[in-house]
Amino acid sequence: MSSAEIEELYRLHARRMAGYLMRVTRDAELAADLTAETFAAALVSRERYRAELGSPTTWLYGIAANKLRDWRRRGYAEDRARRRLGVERPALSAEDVAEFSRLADEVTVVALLDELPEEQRSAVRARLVDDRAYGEIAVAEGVSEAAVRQRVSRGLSSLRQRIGGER
Amino acid sequence: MTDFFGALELELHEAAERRLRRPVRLGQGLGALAVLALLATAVGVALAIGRGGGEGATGQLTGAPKPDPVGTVIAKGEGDPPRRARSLVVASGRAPISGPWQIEVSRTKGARDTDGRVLWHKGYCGTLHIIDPPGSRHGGFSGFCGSPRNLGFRKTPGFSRHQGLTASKPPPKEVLVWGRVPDRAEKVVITAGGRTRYEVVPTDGPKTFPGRYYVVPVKPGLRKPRINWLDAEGKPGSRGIRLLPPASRR
Repeated sequence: MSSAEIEELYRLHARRMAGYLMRVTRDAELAADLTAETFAAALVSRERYRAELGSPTTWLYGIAANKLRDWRRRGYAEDRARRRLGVERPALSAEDVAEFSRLADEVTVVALLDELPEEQRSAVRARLVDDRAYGEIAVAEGVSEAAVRQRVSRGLSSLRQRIGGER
Repeated sequence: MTDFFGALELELHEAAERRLRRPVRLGQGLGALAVLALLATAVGVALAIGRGGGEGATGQLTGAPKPDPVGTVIAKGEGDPPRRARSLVVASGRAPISGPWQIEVSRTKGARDTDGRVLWHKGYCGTLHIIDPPGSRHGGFSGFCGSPRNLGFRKTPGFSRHQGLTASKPPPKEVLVWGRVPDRAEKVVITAGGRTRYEVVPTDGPKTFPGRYYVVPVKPGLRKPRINWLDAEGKPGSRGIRLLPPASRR
């Protein structure tokens, strides 16, 4: 993945990511630290991204989940990637803090649903939003019922991870 | 976008640029161009120069630390950094601290991310090359890409401002704010708190790629700077655009 793509990811997802991290931590300063560290880590490790393992968004949220895990374990937000890149985390104004709170409230499951890989997104949507049976979805998608169950399971797991910060 | 998100974007952009300025290896040119494109939609690019030894001219076609004349064509693979596509010099000049610069345009086929979303459109890229930046071993550059019609200035057709950052230390002494203005623009003006005012007359591009281009060298850290263009009667051409750091204070 190129630096350009990382910056594009930033433009597309920074605010939602900040809202997600704010929702989990309930601390704007901490959410800002983790947001900055997540994108810095993405920039550092961009060459390790493998498209066959998931979408860029999934990869990005995976990094964020790791940063959250480290924070829970250590009690402070890691800044290794930021130090490596020389990235300084901008200070938060009162307006920024209010914005983080607002963003936290904006993060909804429906919004996050759009960030799932296509197969998982359609399976979760069909099963939980449209309330269709597994067998029916399987026929429509042209895959086995087991495959649909797996997609829904993985999709929900990913959503839980994003909402709660844990698998 | 609040200050936090804009400032963090600039920090990340600077970090990406610093990585690109490492000694050139095979394949790095493509990465550099990718970053040019990332600047494509970025709000601003600027070039800030620190002091230093002036070592390592990037060497354009002439090989000398001076800009190429307007209308010069740089073939794909030539220049330093090697151009990813055939480039045309549309403006050139010299800034007090940053030294010689030139604005180039080149075609792009556009790009999409792995999800198929457009990163930047098919059209043209505009790039500011700093040919011999003091205090840096490599030439500095910043740029953006966009649609053919407006060179990427979709929100303010025909008018844009970009700024460039370098990782040079000590802190930058000069920021180059650059871009393109409509044909009827007579001046480009940057105003900042109090009496600070910068004015330049944009220059015409070559006949093969008409347009008017400008570069305004300013001090970094201005208080609430805004840029606008004026017509022949001195009337502002738009509402103006606020400049972001490093041209403005954080």
